[in-house]
Amino acid sequence: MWHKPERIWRAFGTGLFLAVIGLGGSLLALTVFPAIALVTRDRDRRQKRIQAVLHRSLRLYCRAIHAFKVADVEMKDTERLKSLTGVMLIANHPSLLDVVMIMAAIPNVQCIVKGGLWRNPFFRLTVEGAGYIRNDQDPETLLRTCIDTLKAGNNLIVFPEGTRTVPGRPIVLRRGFANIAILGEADLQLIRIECTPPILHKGNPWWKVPATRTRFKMEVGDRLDIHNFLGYRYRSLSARKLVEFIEEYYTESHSHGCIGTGAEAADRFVSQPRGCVS
Amino acid sequence: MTREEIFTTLSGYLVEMFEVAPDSITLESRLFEELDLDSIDAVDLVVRLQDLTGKKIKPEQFKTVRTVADVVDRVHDLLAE
Repeated sequence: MWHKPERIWRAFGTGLFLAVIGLGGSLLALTVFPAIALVTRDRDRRQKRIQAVLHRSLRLYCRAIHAFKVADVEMKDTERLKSLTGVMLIANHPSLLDVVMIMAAIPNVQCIVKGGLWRNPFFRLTVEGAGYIRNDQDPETLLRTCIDTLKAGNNLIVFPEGTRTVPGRPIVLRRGFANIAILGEADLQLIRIECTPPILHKGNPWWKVPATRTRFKMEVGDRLDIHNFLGYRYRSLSARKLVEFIEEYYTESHSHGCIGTGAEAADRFVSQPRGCVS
Repeated sequence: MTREEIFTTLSGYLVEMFEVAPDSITLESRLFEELDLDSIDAVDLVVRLQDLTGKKIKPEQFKTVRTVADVVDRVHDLLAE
């Protein structure tokens, strides 16, 4: 199993890059972010600066993974993401690199992070400094916070699966993202991430790398107009229709390997609300 | 309203607002685990029940609600006040 030097290099590289994100993150949290916080009193500008540093560092990180041939990292059509404001970025969640790739592709982006990070003073400086949203608030407050940040023009990453996908299992979505989109009337930018063969998935240790080099591929799909889903009598119905639609979208693109029919499919879906997208 | 009438009305709301399958609703059904309501749905349901009872419902009164029977009881108490 370990006779191929290339594979040994990838196992070593995977560990190395995991360490880099931990150490690099701590280093930024100890040096650059406190410096920014010190010279930038205005909260919004501070957030923008910290986000910009994270964006550039993670872009470099993705390029390095690719350049050192630990994995192939391919990001398509990301130019379209740069001009987005107040949009929800919806993506499937096959790997640990998903959030890294999205942040590397788009500068002004917020995400929802584990409340536990606030207990560590340095992580706290980073996540709070960047304006990220903690997940341990009560659901209504969390919803309100997400809507507020979208209204302020920030983009918000949400992985509707809630947690990383287990390879081979059907995609089941939670409804929180739909409630945010419907109540905040925010458009959705669909993103599809592929990670083949799987690496760093749930329950798999980092050193168990697959036989061939993993390819991370991020594709930017269509932008979904939320107004297509607001026509229902109740918010609760709109949210359910949206969940159903996104679930089909990712299940379909999963099996057919295609993306990019989001808007058309949404039209079809809404014109026949009870039916399914064929 | 009797408890039966409240149950029937409530079942109607669950079907209409949350696409719950009618035959899955019993007094014992758990709203969140079995009928797939989320916390934002619960807020909407409380608003709807306020219209029904004509009384202001404090969120605390519904915080402990778990099953359909719990909702029926709360509504029944409210109407009896």
